[in-house]
Amino acid sequence: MRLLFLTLIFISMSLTAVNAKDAKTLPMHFFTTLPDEVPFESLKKLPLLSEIDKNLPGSPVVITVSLSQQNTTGGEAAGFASALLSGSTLGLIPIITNQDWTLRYDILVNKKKIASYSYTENFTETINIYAGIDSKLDKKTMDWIESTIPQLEESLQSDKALKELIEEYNFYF
Amino acid sequence: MNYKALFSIALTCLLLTSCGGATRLDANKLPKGYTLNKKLSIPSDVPLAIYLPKSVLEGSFVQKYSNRRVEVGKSLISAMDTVTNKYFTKVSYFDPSSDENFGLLLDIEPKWDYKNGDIVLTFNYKVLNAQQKIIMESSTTYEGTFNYQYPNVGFYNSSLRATQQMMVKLLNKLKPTAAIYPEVATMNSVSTELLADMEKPVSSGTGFHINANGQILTAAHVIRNCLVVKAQVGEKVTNASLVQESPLLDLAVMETGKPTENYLKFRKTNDIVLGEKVTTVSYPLKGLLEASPNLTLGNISSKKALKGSLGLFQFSAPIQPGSSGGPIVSEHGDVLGVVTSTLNISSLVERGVIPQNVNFGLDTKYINKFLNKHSFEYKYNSKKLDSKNVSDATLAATVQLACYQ
Repeated sequence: MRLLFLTLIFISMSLTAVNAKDAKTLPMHFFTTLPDEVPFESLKKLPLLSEIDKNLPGSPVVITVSLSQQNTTGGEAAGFASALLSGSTLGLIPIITNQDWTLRYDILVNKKKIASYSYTENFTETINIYAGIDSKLDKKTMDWIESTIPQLEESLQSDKALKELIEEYNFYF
Repeated sequence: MNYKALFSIALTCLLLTSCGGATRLDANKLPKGYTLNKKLSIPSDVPLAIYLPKSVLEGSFVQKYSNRRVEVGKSLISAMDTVTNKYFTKVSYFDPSSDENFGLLLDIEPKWDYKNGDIVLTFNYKVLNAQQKIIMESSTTYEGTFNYQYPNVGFYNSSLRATQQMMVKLLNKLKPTAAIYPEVATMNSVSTELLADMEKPVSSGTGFHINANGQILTAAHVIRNCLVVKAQVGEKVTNASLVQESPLLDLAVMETGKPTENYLKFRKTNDIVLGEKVTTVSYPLKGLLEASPNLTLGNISSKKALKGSLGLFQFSAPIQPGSSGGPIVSEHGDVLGVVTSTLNISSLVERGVIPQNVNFGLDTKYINKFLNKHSFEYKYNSKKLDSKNVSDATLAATVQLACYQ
C-alpha cells in the first residue's frame, strides 16, 4: 500500500514537472519610451520575459517601460529659489531641481492593462537655462533603471494576473 | 538704474513666468472667489462615494518631445484625494460590485481641453442621495497653466482647483452631515444607468447571438470599461451584461436574458480555406451612419495576420470602426471568425503606403475552445445555405452594442 502511495506521488510529481517544463513562455512585444532601450537585454534574461521582442507588432501582449517625473515639495522650493538666482545671474548659476522619477512597467493584453509595477527614486539635477531639454539619461539614471529589474522579477513571479495569462496562453496556443 | 540691472530684472520676471505650472498648488488655499460657509461642520461625517469613468482614471499619454509618460488619471485622482479627504471623513470610489455603504454619491464627468497652451478642466457633476435621487446638478471649469517640463503638475493643479470649486459648491449647498443625510445604501444597489451618460455612447461595436438563450459573442475590447452596455436587436434595445471574457483572445460573451430563434452556427471542421468567400455584418460608425446593419463581402486573404498575432486570420471584406465583434460567415452560413481589428495604416501612410482591406478576425478554432472552456451552448452548422439565406440569417443574428460610461 505504502509502495503504491509513493509510486502515485512520484508519478504526479513527474507529471507536474513535465507540465511545468512544457509550458511555453508568453511572447510579448516590447515597447519603451526611454531614449536608450537600456532594460531590453536585461529584461530578456528574466525567465518570464525571455520571449520579449521589439518586433512583434501583432502580439496581443505588450510590455511597456516608461518614465515619469514629479517635483518634490522640497525640490519645488529649492528649484524656485535657484531659478531666481539663476535668472539674476543671467544663467551663470544653474537651476537645481529635485524630483521623484518613476519607472513603470506595464503589461497590456489587447490594450487592457493587467499588471503594472512602478519604482520611484529621488534625483537632484542641475539645469542650465540656455541648454535645451535633454531626453538622454545619465549613467546614474541608467544604473537605477537596471537596479529595478531584480525587483521586477520578484513582482512578476508573484503576480496572479500574469500567472493566469500564461496559463491561458498555454491552454489556447 | 543701469541697463544690465534692468535686463536682469526682466530676465528674472521671464523666468518666473515660465515657472508657472512647475509647482503643485497649495491645497489649503481655495481658488479665487470660492469661500466655504463658516457654519459648516467639516469634515462631513456622511460617507461619500465618487464615480469617475474608468477610461478617465486610466488616462495617460507619452509626451513626444521628452518621451516621458504623463499620468493624467493619476494626477486627477491624487488631487481629488487631497481635496475630498479634507472635507469628508470617508471617501471611496464607486464600484458597482461593492457592498460598501455611501450616503452621498458624486457622479463626475470630467472633460479635458487645451486652450492657448493652458489646460482647461470641466467637471459636469451630479450628487445622488442614498435613495438614488439627484439632489444637486452643476458644472465647474478651471483653466490651469501647462508646463511642458512638468506636465503632471499642470494636470494635478487643474484637477485640484476644479475639485475645490466643486467641493465648495457642494458643501455650501447641501451642508452634508449624518443628521441631515442619515440614510446609507450599498454601491451595488445603485442603478448604473443613473451614473452613466446615457445620452451618447462612448463607443459602439457589434456582436451576434450564438444560441437560443440570447447570449451574444463579441470582441472584448468593444465592452471594455463600460458601465452600461445596451444591445440593439432590430428595433428593440435591451441591457447586456458581461458573462465571460478572454482579454488574450479579445473575446467576450454577453447575456441579454432574451431568448431568440436567430443565432449563428459554427463550422464543424474548424478550418478555414484560403480564398474562400466571406460575409461580415456589422454596425459601424454609430452616430454617423443610420442605425442599420452593414453587410460586406470579401475573401479569406491569409491564414496568418501580423507578426506575433495569436489565432488571427486576414480577410478582405471592408470593415469600419464599430465593426469589431461582428461575425465572419462563410458562403454556406458557417461562422468562421469574429472581427477583431484592422491594420493601423497611419504609420504606413507616412511612408507612402496605403494598404487596402487588411482586416483581422479570430479563428473559429479558438472561439470554440473558449466557448467549450466556459460551457457556453453553441451549435455546428449542418446545412448549406444559399447566399440569400446566409445574408438573412447573419443580419437577423447580428446586434449592435453600445457602451456607456
